[in-house]
Amino acid sequence: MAWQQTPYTLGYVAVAVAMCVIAALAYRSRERPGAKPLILMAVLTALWSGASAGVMARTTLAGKQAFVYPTYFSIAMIPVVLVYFAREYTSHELSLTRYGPGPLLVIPAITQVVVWTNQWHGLMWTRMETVPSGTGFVTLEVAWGPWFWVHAVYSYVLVAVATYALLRMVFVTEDVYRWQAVTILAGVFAPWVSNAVYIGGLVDLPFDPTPIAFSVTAVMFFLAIYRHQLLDLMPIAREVARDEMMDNLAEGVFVLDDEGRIVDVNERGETILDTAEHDLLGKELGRVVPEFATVLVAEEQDDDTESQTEVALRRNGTLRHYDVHVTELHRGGGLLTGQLVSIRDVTERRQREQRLDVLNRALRHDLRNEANVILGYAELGMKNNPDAEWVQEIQDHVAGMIDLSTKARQIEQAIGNGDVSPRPVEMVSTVESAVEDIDADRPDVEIDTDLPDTANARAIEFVGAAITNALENAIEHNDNPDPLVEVSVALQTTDEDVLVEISDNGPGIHPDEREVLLRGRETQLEHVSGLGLWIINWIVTESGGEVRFAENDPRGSIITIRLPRADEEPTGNAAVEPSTDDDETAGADEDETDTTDEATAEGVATDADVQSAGESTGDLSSPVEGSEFGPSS
Amino acid sequence: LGETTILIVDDEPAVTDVYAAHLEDEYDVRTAYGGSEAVEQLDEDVDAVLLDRRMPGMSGDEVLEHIREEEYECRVAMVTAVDPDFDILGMGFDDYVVKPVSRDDLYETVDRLLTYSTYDETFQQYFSLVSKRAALQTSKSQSALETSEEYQELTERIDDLEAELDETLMDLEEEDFGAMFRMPEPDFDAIDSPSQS
Repeated sequence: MAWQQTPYTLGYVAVAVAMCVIAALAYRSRERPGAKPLILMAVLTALWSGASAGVMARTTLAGKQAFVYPTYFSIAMIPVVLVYFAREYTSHELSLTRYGPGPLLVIPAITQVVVWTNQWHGLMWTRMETVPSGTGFVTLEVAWGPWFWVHAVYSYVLVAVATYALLRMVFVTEDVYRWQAVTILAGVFAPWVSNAVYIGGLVDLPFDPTPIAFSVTAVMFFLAIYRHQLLDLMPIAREVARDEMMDNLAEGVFVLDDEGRIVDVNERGETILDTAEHDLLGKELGRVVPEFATVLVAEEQDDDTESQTEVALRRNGTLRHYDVHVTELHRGGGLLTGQLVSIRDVTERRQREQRLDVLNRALRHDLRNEANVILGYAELGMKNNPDAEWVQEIQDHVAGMIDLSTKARQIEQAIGNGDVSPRPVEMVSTVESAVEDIDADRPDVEIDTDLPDTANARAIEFVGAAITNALENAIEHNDNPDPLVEVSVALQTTDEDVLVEISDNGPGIHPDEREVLLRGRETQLEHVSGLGLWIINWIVTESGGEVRFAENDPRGSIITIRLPRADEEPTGNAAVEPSTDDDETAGADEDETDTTDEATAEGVATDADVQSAGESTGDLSSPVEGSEFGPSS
Repeated sequence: LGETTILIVDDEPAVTDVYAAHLEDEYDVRTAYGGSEAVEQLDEDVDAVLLDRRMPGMSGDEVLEHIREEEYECRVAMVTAVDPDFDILGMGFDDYVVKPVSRDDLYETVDRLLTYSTYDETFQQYFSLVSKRAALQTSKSQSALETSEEYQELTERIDDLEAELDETLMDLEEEDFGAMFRMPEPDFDAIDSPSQS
């Protein structure tokens, strides 16, 4: 037995011991996900390093060979273990591990056989001899056989796959996980880089430096465990929490890969599709539920990263409606792509909407038809019997009915569809035109105004309807005899708000009604009268403002509409009222005629245009408000 | 009197009849309680049609299409409880009136239609487009209008026609122009039927 003492031997032994310590540390937390491949990897590297120490220490060829052969157990196995480590660590199924470890172990097993039987075929090494190195030690010099290259290429492919998985996580995750991944990568890369350097002969070394590089690995894994809390803060822990949360969601969630195949699904998703998870994984969602196919494809072609569509599915014989929300996953510069599909059952909401639509139609379409007939006959009655007061009563009350229908339309126009967002609106002119409209409607009522020159607020474009309704509320419910009805509008701006105050001397808004508005819910017994207060409330709320009701002194009420102040100027004619109120249009009509007179230079056709449009508008907007059917006709 | 014929179409007989009761004072009135009945009643004598949109069987929209395909000379107003939507842009009506309509509304509408029938085609087209614009302005939000390409096209079309009509009118004598376009505020007691002139 011939031994020699080299400094490398000690280094190898130190690394082997360090790896054993790491294996022991990992063993203590072996129940944690990812611990087992890490333990195995540490043990294997300890073996490699320890055997390398033996190779250095022996001076005879046979002695060195006795240690070289066992190193190939580690060398061949480590790439496989690394793949498993990557799989568990990133909790991402790799295509390599789909059929279990068996197929991956075929080449390492052959390598073992080839190594130990090398003397008969020379497939691993064609030449192996001891040579004295320049430093006075006996080292091993080899020439590689063909199988060695098979083994090397295979090992590097596995390392590449593991590296890809780990790299992807480096780019995809954040914070602590990224540092963990960097540490792990440094630990994994060090031996292989050095090995590549050695095999490629880039640097002339008397020995294989790969095991030395494992000292780097040892340190890195050690850091990963203690400094970056590898096993405590494994991404998989976060993953588990997420799974738990996902399963408790009210939405069905599907994660699709870039081919549209389901890679993850939560419990709710299984329930919605009525299919177990294992029957779903790996299948294309667009095939499992053909109704989704178009949604998913449309989303792919769309530039937006998110889309929402409603899909109807028949489940157990009943038609359910689902909101399908697709989010494109695109992270790490395209390393990770896929789709997140969440599905929410909106059947109830949908049914409610449907009922609302029908009621709305009945209130608007059918009621108008009926009212048309009543009014028509009332007018005929009026013609034949001009003195009958009851005809006038019929007309007034039917006009009230139609007013309700008009208000329902206003509501839908103002806030019914989602495309109305607050924008800068010049409030002084909005208030002025609302006041003018009311003036035209009720010439008997004088409205006092106290307005600045200009005030820009953020509001939805129908904010004028809120002002009009507040004014109507002040006048209509006023029980004072005509000359005593007092209504005033004041507008002031603060640093943040625009305040519009409408005061009257009527009976005031009953506290019960205010209560209903505050609570936001009404019943048959407790409700506000009409729709006006709700219109004010909804429009102002939608604008991001607030309505306040207060009592006026000595009597009456004050409605204060607070809107957020806008710094920018209004663009275009933002302050448009839903011109459903005929009398408003009548006012606008006059205005337009005036402007036309001034603008005759523009040409004749414009003249006709304005006139005609004005008239048409007059007819279009449900033209049956009080005055239209009043005594004047 | 009596020479001007109005066709009233509404699937609700009470609505049709009450319109007829009002208009019979001034015009020769025909009524139809459905789309196909309306088609039967149509002939060259009809000057103006008041047409409901939503009717079972043949709808008002279809009747309107038929009228335009057959190239009847009559002017058509949609008189409907349906709020105008962007789909009206493809329709060939002359006016769009939302129910309920009063006696005055009825007379104003009919009178306007009869006035249009005295105009040449370009003007008729122009007023048809203007009525669509006005109709949409009452039922659509400003932002919905701003984002609608069809609506922008409509506006451009109106502007083009305005420019074209402007040029035509420059050639006309001042008084002709005045007579034609300074339409008085409709005063129906004074004007019986402009189409007779």
